[in-house]
Amino acid sequence: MKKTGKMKLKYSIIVLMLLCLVINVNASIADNLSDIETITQEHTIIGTVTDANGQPLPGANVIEKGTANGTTTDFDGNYSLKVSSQNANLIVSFVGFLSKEIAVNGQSSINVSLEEDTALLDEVVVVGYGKQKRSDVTGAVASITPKALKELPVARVDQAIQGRIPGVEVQNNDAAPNGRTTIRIRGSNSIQGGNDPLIVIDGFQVGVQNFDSNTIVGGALNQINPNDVKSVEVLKDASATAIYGSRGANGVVLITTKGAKTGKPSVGYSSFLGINKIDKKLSLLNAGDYAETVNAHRDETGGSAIFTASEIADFRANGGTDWQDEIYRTGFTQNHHLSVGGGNEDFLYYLAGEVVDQKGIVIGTSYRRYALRPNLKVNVNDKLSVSLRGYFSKETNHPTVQNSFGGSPIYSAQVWAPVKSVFDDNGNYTLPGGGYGPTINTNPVGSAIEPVVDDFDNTTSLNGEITYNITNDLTFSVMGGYRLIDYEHNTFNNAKVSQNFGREFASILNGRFTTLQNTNILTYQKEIDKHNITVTGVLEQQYEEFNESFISGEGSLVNTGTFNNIGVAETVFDPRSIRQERSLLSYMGRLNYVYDGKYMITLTGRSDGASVFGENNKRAFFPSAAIGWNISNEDFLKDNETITNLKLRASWGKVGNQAIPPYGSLSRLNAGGLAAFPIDGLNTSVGVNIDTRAENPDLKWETTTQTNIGLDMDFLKGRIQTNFDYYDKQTEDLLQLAGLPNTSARTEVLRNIGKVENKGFEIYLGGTPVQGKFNWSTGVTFAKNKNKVTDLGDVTEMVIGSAPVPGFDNSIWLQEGQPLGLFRGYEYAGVWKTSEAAEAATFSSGGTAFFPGAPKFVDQNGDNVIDASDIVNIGNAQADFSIGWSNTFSYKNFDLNVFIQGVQGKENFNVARLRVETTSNDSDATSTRISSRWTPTNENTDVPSFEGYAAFPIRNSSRWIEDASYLRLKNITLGYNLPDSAVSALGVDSFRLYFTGTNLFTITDYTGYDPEASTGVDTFAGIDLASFPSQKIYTFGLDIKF
Amino acid sequence: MKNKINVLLIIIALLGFNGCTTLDEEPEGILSPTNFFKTESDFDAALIGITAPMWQAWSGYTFDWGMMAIPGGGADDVGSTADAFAPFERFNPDPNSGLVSGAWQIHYATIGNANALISSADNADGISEEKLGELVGQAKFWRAFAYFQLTQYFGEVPIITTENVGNADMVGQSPVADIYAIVVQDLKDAEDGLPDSFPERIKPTKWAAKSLLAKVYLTMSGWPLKDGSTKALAAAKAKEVMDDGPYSLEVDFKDLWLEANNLTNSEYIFFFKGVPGAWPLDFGSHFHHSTRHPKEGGWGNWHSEAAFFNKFPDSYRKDISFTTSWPDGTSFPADVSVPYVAKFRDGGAGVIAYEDTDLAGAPNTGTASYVHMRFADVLLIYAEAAGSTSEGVEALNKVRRRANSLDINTPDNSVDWPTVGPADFDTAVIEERAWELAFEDKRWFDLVRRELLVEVKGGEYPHINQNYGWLPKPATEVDQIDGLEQNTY
Repeated sequence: MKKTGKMKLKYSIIVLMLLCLVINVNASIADNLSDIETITQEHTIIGTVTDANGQPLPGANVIEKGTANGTTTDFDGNYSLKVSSQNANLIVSFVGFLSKEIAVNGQSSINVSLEEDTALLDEVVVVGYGKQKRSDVTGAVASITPKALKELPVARVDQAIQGRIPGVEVQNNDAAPNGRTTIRIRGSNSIQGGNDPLIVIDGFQVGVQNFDSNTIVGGALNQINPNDVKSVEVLKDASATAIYGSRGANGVVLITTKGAKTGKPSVGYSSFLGINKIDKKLSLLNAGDYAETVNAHRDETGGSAIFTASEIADFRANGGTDWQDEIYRTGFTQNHHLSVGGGNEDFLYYLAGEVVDQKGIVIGTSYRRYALRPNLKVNVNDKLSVSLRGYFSKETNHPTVQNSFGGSPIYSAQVWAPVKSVFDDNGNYTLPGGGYGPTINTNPVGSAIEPVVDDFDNTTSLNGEITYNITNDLTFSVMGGYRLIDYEHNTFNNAKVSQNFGREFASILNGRFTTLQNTNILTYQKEIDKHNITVTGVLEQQYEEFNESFISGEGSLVNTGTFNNIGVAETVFDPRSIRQERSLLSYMGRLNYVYDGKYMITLTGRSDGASVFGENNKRAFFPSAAIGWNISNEDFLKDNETITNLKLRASWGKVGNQAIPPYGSLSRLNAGGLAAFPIDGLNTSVGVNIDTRAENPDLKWETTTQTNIGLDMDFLKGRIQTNFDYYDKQTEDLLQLAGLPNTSARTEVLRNIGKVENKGFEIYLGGTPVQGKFNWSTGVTFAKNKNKVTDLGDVTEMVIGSAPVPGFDNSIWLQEGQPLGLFRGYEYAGVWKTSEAAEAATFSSGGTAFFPGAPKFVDQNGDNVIDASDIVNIGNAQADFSIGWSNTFSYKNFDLNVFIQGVQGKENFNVARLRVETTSNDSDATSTRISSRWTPTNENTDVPSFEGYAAFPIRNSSRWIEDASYLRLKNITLGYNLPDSAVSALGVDSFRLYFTGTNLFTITDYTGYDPEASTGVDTFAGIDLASFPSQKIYTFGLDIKF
Repeated sequence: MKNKINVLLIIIALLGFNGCTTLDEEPEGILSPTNFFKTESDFDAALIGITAPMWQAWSGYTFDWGMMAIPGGGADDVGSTADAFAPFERFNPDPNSGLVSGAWQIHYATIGNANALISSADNADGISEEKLGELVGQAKFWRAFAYFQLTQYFGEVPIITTENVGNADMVGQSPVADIYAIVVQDLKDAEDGLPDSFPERIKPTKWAAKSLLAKVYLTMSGWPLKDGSTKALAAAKAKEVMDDGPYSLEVDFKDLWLEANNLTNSEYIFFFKGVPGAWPLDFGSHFHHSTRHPKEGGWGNWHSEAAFFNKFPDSYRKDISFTTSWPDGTSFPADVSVPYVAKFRDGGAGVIAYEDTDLAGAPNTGTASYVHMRFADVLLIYAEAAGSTSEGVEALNKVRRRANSLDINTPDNSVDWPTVGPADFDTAVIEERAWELAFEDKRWFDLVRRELLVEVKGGEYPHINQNYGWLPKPATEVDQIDGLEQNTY
């Protein structure tokens, strides 16, 4: 935090370096070009590449046949290429179009019109352990184009795919720099086993799942810059995911990073700068109103006034502290991404480097990432090629405490008294208390800037592959991957906030997470007449190792060395270390058979052996089958001009979730206090005895059986595209902690109990309503998922946890027939009115009768007593449906992208409001809502009187349940491509500028900072305890290619 | 041909790769039975772990919430009006009570830990035969103790082993005789394996095993087994301890209860002792505090009963056993309706805490001992088992003489058993046990095994019968375990 000056300097140097790099590369290429021109007698060809309708095709490849010499068309489809002779041949190609070969024959202007290659159908998609033609795919595999991926100016793929793929829900749980996202594909299957999809980057499975104390989030998608991505495929149904066996049940996200293309070095520079402003502030009382409200409360509940009239007058005159203004600032985000790629037939390369720098809107927060991504490929000969893909990153994060009752500046800023100043007369942080306001939450400003949190994370990933074409039909490849995440998470609290000197605290956490993978693939592909057969065999080994050590110290000497020298602390405590390993040994086989491009069948089977399985269940088998029918290839539809593609798909399969913690099936011993005993009668001796968690040699994976029916329809040669998928997922053998009789000397055991169901459908509708000079293309995603717990074993309902605020104990439940993560509490029905006094008096709680001004709760069982038996289900955070709507308008050099995203039917348990809107012995309400509390003259309110709340301080009620549906203008971008004249004057291939507004507009009834906010996931989703507020972001960006 | 060779090479390569990954888990970062139970220090640590469940911070034998109240509640030496204990006092115990499940849980946890050690003895590496015998002997001793407590409290209970623990919800229950068979066998093995003494007084010795076996035999001769053959065995075992053991009665009955003497007195055979320490290693005892009247800052959870006090023969021992006056000048029976317990008043911290000492403000955590077996108990076991033989009578008389501050070995007609008559002598021994071992959790088991429950408590609680000698089994266990039947009354 205090290093900002130095950091700024460092940062400036990096920007300078980047700029120098850009200029140098630019200059040197220009030099090279002019050299060539003067030395050789070359022939220059210019022209335009268009589609059959005359629409220009930007990005098409124009290559001189038999050489590495080539170029790509600019935004208007124009190209200019110097060829070695007038008799050269050009090859012009573009994704989705048939390539064309043209003889130059001395022409200096060649315009090329490309024919569409049966629309999108022959696009190749990555399906895991191989690729397939889009038209041959039988499973539910969704792709997102690199263009769509780049619409939102973010430096991370997870945020970029939000709302883009039906059935893939991305939720921004908080909006901190490097904030947490949750990705769910077709709902949540598991209660305890985790629901994060498997992330596969270039064949390397890097998803991190379920390490007990690990703080690394699953995925690593936050580390991937969309600029580096060639394609993103999402495997949704069992036919597609079963090839990943025990890791596939939550769906699979396949990322293919950019490789190299032959040709001259192509340099890209993408950069954006964003200004972040808090989306909305909560409406809180000013100092004068607060003081009066506190006095009113004391008066109403029989206390004495806290503030004198002159003090209040002073507050009115001099204001107080707006704690939200104190801790929030304008944030700043920037990303610079530089890449260079090229090569010849023998050697191809792509190198990319980036800097991400974020200054969070909460003071003291920041995030920075430096990353390098080299992708190399060597073609040794016709048969043998070797490639290496690397990723190296260094991340520094200074987060703040959020989603927490204690220590969080975001929460403190909501509940702290506006009458307090930041510092007292002696220059120390003001303390809580003083007869009003919270008693334990600490000074918001101090909480934000004093505690040092330094999270350093380094990632090293290397992924090498050898491919050998044994024959024309048979290919063998060996992939070896190594990935290391090493991290150091440090904290230091100088005790200035609490003024609890002598209790200075520092801690250091060091860890390493290592993943090794070896994948051996044998692929046989043969086309005989109308039969096209592909057989894939895989042997795969995976190994993960996790180790971590922690120590902390306390005392004033900690000030001298902080976490860098904990040894000097007066008290060193909580030293611990952990090491865990897990391994997988798998065999996979897949058969694809296509007859005449019309009938397709896919059969897969994977056998997984996992170390974490119990010893009686070491191997699992996951089969799947799928069929497809390209109806549009049948004779009766073949020549139809309207329906250009019609495909029916159906699949079934079983997929697993091996989310058992390492050693979870084994018998354990413990050495803590529960194993201690004073065996000499003088002192306590620490011993060892059996853990209360029993071993379970039968422990196994969770199994999800999924059925999928899909329909793909394209009209008018792809001008309108539609996809529809219906699925039914049944997950069984859920991992659950079951109680054991004490007779076993244990209290619990991890068992496979219970079932969860997810059913739903997904629709994609895309098209180009307006084509021509003015172009409008649009795409709508819609997904509806219904989640239901169908079996909980011996019980029909169970408590699974509490909302993390006092008074909400045991408020989160599971119940058969209901979705995951039920909120339970009293049903709040407003406030008793004066006219209802007689009726109110017939109800009581804790022996006290209700009265006007008191909160009204629904007496569910009609016994006129409000007690625990009146607790009912009051909400849940599972959405009814979600939508995304993307629009791109282009006219001449301008393009406008508008992206709207929304979720409907989700509820949040906004427990942060409790202390903001109520007064109790350890807090005073700060919300302006308290001003509308019940009084005899203000009866139209749902805020009880002070007296009423004091008499019935029932907290866990539906008063805090809110509809968190929203519809958001996620992104609006106006882009401008510099015209050719300007581009060539600059000596570049293309130059694009854009302005983006993110989150400019949100329609929601939700009163918290952000309807997406969530402290937990799945069963604990939708609990909002003051997470990092969302922001409006104004971004300026540019993309240059040369 | 070349292709075939290539394919062959690949297949060979694949088979080779296969060997790299092992699916067996070898835990490195956790303690597990597979990587533990090898060295002597492993086994020493595991021994500590066996007894740990019985002596935990605020549970087990450390204070009344748990072991003291349960037997005390139903017996006539102790009474309580505290909410948690009253159901036991009134013979209306609740199978959902935390006290009931606690009594079950701590003993089964002890058994589970003992099973783990005993079944791992074969893995021991570099431990001498003798040392291993001591280790296994102690484990078997505590396993026997736990089963003995369980069957005395609950009757027919499950027998749990390392083989059936994984299916603990299907173990059912075993006849009382089968449980005693395990207890006897374990104690015989313990006798063989254990040494005469340990540097640590808390560890059970050969003599502890013999003493406990004597009590087990005597108990087997009573309700419910009524095994006619075991009484003589009880006498023989007790006699071994009397003749060859290192124990003797403390000269001054008061010294038995002073914390300072706990580890050195000549009478304790096996016991647990509270020690100072901060949470979570807070292993002090609390019954000194729970037995004190609130006037003295105690919790007053349990006390004695007026009828018991009135029958208690006047003696030095009576003065030491009861608290009947308080620093504020009040006394029993004038101002306070029940006498209080004095035996555990010295909670350590240097407080010589007898009557008229103001203990207000004394800490609720102390260092007093919970005595499972002391030499006086062995003498009385012998007297009861041997009957009115001259040696039997002398055993009783030694206890009586000490109770009256007389020389233990010098006959004294003022207190000695005067005549020889079997029936009367037997009654006298049982009554002597009540006085000598009052408030030590022994009286309840005497009433049950000697079928005196209805006689002693039936007047006050007419609904009871002998079956009330067993507590209800914990509801959670009966619900979860197939074949585990609830006790009926």
